[in-house]
Amino acid sequence: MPTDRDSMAANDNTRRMVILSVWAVVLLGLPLWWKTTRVYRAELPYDSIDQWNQWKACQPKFPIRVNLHLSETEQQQSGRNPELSDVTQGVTRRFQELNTANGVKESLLAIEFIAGKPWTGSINKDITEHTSTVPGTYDFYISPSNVTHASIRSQRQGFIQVQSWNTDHIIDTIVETSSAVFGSEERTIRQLLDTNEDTQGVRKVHDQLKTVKYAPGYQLTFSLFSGDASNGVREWKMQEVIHAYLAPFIKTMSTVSKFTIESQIQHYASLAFTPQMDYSSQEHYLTPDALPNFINAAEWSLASTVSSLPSLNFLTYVPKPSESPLVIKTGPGASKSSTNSFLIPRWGGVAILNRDIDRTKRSEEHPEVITVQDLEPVMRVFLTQLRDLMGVTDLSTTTQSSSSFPIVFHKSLNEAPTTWELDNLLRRRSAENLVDSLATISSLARLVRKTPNMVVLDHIQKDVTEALRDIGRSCEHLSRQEYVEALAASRDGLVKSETAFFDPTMVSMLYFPDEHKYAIYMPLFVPISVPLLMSLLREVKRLKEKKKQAQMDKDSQGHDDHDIQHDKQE
Amino acid sequence: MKPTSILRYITASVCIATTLAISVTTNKDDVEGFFAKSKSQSGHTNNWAVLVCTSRFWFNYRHIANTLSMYRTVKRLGIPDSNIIMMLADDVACNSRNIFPATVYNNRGRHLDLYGENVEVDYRGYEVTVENFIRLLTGRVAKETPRSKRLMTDDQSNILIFMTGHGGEEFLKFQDAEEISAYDLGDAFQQMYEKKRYNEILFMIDTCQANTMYTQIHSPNILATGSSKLNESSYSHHDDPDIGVAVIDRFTYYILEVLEKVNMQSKATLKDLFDTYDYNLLQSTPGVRDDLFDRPLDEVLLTDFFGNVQNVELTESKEVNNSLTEADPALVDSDPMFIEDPQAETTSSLKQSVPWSQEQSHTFEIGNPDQSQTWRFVAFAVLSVAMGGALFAGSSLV
Repeated sequence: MPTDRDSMAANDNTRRMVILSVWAVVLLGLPLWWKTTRVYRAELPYDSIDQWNQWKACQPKFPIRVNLHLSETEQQQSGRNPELSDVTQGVTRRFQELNTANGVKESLLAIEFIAGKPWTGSINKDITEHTSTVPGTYDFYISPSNVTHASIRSQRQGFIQVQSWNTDHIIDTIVETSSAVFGSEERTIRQLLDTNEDTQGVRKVHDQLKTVKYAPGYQLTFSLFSGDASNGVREWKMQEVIHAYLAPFIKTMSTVSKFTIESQIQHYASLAFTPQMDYSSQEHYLTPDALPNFINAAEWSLASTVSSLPSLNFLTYVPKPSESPLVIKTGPGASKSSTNSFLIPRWGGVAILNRDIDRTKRSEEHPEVITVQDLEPVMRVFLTQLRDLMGVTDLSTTTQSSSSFPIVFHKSLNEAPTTWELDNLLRRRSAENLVDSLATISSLARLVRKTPNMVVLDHIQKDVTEALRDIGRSCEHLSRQEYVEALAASRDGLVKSETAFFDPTMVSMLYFPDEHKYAIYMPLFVPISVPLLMSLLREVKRLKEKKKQAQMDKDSQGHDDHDIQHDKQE
Repeated sequence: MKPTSILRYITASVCIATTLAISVTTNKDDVEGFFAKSKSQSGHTNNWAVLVCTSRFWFNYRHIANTLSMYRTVKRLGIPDSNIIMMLADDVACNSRNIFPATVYNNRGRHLDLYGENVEVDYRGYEVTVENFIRLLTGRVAKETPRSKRLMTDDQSNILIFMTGHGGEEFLKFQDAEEISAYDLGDAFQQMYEKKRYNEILFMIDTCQANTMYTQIHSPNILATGSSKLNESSYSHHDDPDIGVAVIDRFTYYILEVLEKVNMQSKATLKDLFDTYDYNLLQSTPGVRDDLFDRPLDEVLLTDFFGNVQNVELTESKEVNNSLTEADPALVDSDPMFIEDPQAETTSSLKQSVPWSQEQSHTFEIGNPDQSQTWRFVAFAVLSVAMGGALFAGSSLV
């Protein structure tokens, strides 16, 4: 009897140990399983993203410094010479008044007027040589004259001539000139930086319709399409033309973006339709309505697979003899387009080059070559179009008709952006990049928040953090008037935020509802859990029974003893 | 302050305020003048097409023919190959069962070989996967992906997305291996919207229960149309006894019938297309979902999506401006030395150019997805073995 009992107790213990150990494995394993099957999510800096979105972390400012120089030679017959400090203060005050009048609390283009050195009143070598090389710092030279007139020289200089040499008039003229130069830009940047939630998604700044999106680099493709071989075109001097005419532009713009240039020639490139004929002038013509279909996309190979930079196409079309001369005009008898060319927004430009066959036959040695002289007007057109596509604002067109006195903007001879235009572009592109990279980061943050199943790896977090730092850096540079560095930083921020957003690991798991999870885990967990639970229940039951038994044993213990005694008595 | 000077101040500031106002409005007018014509149009500057056939195998000939027909149409209407992304199993043209090798026809008459000379398939065969499709749409492709496999759209792109294959309620099968759900599609579109990757999308789908596929789209400016409603099949149009299989689906067939009459100059609208939908012809109920779409359908040209009609701007000579610049009245004769020296200028601005590099290296390997995946497997396997053992021990005991 006792041995039986002992073995039973030993059995019980073993069984309990087994059940306990199995449960221990399960209980220890569950958290392990939970932890190891969880998706890895690096924490994104949500707080600072939110702060940036309201420009709380740093409000971009675009300080501009204007040095005012008054002519000192002119001794006024009316006595008092205008004081430079009066002028400076007056102009500053006027600008503040203007801002309050326009309901603008703080001007984004914080123009600061500084009293500069007086000058002699005649443009001489000293002045032309001591030009400002700092983007955002300009010199206004003011001198009396018999007619009020402003002339914005390309090297960050403005020459203002005022009719009546007194403080008020000088102030008026300076204020008006400055508004003409900076007014539209201020408006554009304000529109760009407007982070109002309602308008953010749909907002489009009008100029941006033509302008390509900012990219650190672009690929320019110059293509010559020849209608057929009978027009005798075999070669063009594009390389020389690029060196002669495009190089200065590219050089100047290299602060903003880099360019890769390639060129190609394609023969037998026919139009998809036949141009109309104007018999009165013996010209074939294309109406503006037909121009959208000009590019024969199915047959002309324009796409380049060499690089993944955004590409811009510039296309020179030489029509075949049976279709030349080919001009653009609205109808027969209408005046034809002076440049014979058109621009396709965000895509590039097209110029039709008519070759005067008689002339080429008569005078030139190599009629099959399109010479630099032939290409020069075409290249001028392309440069104009490239300026538009790159978003170089032509200040003269935005302000021409609006001022009370003539303001003349000088251009550089080679269509390269002037320093004024370049500074304008630096400021605008920086603002654009800041906005774009912030938008990218915040939509990434939104995406990550919304998709709990998405894996967020550490390098995403790193990219986002670095992008935010670059944005901050750019904003600081801006406030210190270091435009070039600001643009470089904003470009880094843009590139990093896009890298993070377009990272191949950021494709979340496909739609994976909870039912699917149950369906996957059920076949495993149900069969395992049934015996587990059952054995546990049974063990508990047994334990209870045993306790009961023990209790009963205890209760009957006295009885048993009695029995034993009774036995003994017998 | 003297009253006259106050007056002068006021007039000057008024003058400047109006100056500002005018300068801005004229600018706006110019631009709007240029795009005034396009105002009723969509405001896009480029067109893209994503054509997906999600079936493979010979008996699905018609799906490949559907896609190739659509490809031919958009190409004819001016979308260049570089802007067409075609995903195609591409296994019927050279199938051993094809008695007309290297051809694909969409009609019993066999007038037109769709496979032609110039077909550019971007994702071929087993590359047609849900993952690749989602990656394509969202732009999250691997770094080394060639340009032809990328959807390089921007906020001014109109995209036509055409899908065909076998589907069911809220899913579309990809090559009998996996499926994309309506939710995936909706999410992908939302991400495209977040990153401003489109201006407008026309989503077309020809499959069974097709209309359920666009129910989960929730991003603006997307127009969707499908061939059949919930619990309805889409049917093929006719078969070719020589080829031995059906060659085109009804929905695609009747759409093509409309599109064949469209050329680049056409002013036909989407409404015209949708009005031709007829239950008797299709034997299913085609659907149109336009609640996310802003423009009235009778103003949306077919070429806004199926073609590549760009707004152009005539470049006018700026000679006038130049002459004005040169004729600077006051300064022109002041000093002959003062000549614009663009060279000096460019060098001066060049000095400030900051070298920078676009390349960034990612040498992070910590959260490697493969690694975490293996971990999961290992943990799962260990747990299963442990549990299996426990189960065995437990049951033998019990």
